[in-house]
Amino acid sequence: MVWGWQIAWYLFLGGLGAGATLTSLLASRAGPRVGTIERAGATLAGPVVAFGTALLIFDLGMGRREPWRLVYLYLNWESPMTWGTWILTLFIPIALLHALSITGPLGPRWERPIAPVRRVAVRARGALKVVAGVLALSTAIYTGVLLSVPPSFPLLSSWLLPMLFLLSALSTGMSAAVVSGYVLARRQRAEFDLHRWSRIHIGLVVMELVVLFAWVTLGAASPAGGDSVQLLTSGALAPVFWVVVVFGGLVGPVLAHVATAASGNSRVALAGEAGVLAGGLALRYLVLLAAVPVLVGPAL
Amino acid sequence: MSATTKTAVRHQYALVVDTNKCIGCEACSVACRVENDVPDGHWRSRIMPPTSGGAKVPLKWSCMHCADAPCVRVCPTKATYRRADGIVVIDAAKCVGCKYCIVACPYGARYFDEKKGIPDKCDLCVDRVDAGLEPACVQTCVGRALALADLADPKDKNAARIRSGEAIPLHPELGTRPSVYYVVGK
Repeated sequence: MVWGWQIAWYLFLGGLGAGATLTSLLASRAGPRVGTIERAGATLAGPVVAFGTALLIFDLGMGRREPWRLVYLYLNWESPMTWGTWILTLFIPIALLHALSITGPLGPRWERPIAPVRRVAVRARGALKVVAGVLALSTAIYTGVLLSVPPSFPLLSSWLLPMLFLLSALSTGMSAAVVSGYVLARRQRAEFDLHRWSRIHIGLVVMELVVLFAWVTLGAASPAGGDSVQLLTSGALAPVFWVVVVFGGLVGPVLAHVATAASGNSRVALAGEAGVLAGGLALRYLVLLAAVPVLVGPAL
Repeated sequence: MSATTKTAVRHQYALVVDTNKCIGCEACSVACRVENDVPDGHWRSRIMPPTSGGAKVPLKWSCMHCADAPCVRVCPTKATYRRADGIVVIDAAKCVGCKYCIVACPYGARYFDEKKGIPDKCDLCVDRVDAGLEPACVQTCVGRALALADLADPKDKNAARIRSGEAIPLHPELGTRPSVYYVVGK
């Protein structure tokens, strides 16, 4: 697999940013007042996805040598990578505008140049929410589609992969928004109920566990797929898969949320959110590392 | 007054590998490496050794120049494309080096050329073929196991072996419709 850490991190950050936007939109349905999570999720999304996209561009063989070639990326309508190029090109500025439409003014020096843009963004707040939501969903899903289209790695050629990536994006985005919201609230000495999102997050994580196991189970159907699954579950990648992805990223956070409800100790919940993030990143790495090519050796 | 029109000769290239004649000497691999200046650690054409449970004979392995090439489909810049004569090539000027084509090839035929910053692969020695020559591997093959076939030429004997079903593609179940055909068994 020729794609390495830049791609693994991009998959993680792109998903997280998209999930942060979707979390923000979910939070906005609680009422007209812009709450902490709504603000945190929206603020995170643009910069995080932009940074991930920068990693993508650095990974390109010609990205730094002849950056003008990047315009060619928009050309092939049949390529999932072209779809992604369009989606990211639209999502990043829309995410930034969405953040502008619901956040408070920055210090006087920064606010003056962006004030006219913010005025437009605030007026278009409703439309921005819709467009940001559609683009966030697209960002979260297209990477899974991109990996599942080629016939070369049976582990990846599954419709469950885009689903898994969407759920993981939602989950990691939610964790990032909740942790940032918590930190922000602490600095402002405001109240912050870490637990309010627990039920939604537990539901998400449980769905993700189910899809993960379905994906692994179905992935074992072919010889190369079986080799991939073996690598993941009992081979060289097994420690990271079970400890970081399954326990740290999924089972652990569920237990942490339950424990927080029982004890009221927010540190446990925070540890759970950190686990979700670590598990999400590890999952992206493992998806790339575990993929065994369909033709391990030619056969007639 | 009669107008003479020069009709362009159309080709439909394919490669025929006769495994009955191949002894696995790798002269083709060497010729390819020399002709195309293939960087160390990478290959455009190689011989896959006979393996138990798999191939029983050495297999000359290189880009299959598929009619339904996944690399062509996924290339975002259309740098990789299939010519009308069937040869799949890379337009180095358009390629951004995203490596999606390397990921997409189920035959593992592509490599990333770190020095050039773009992927590369067998191009059927397209410059030689356009000049009326054979690909380097075909010309070099001592046992005459390799042949460049032209399916658009009704008189081409090697094309006839493809049409008759004597020469078959590898792994047709992948659905890519390769243009490299193998004569297997006797």
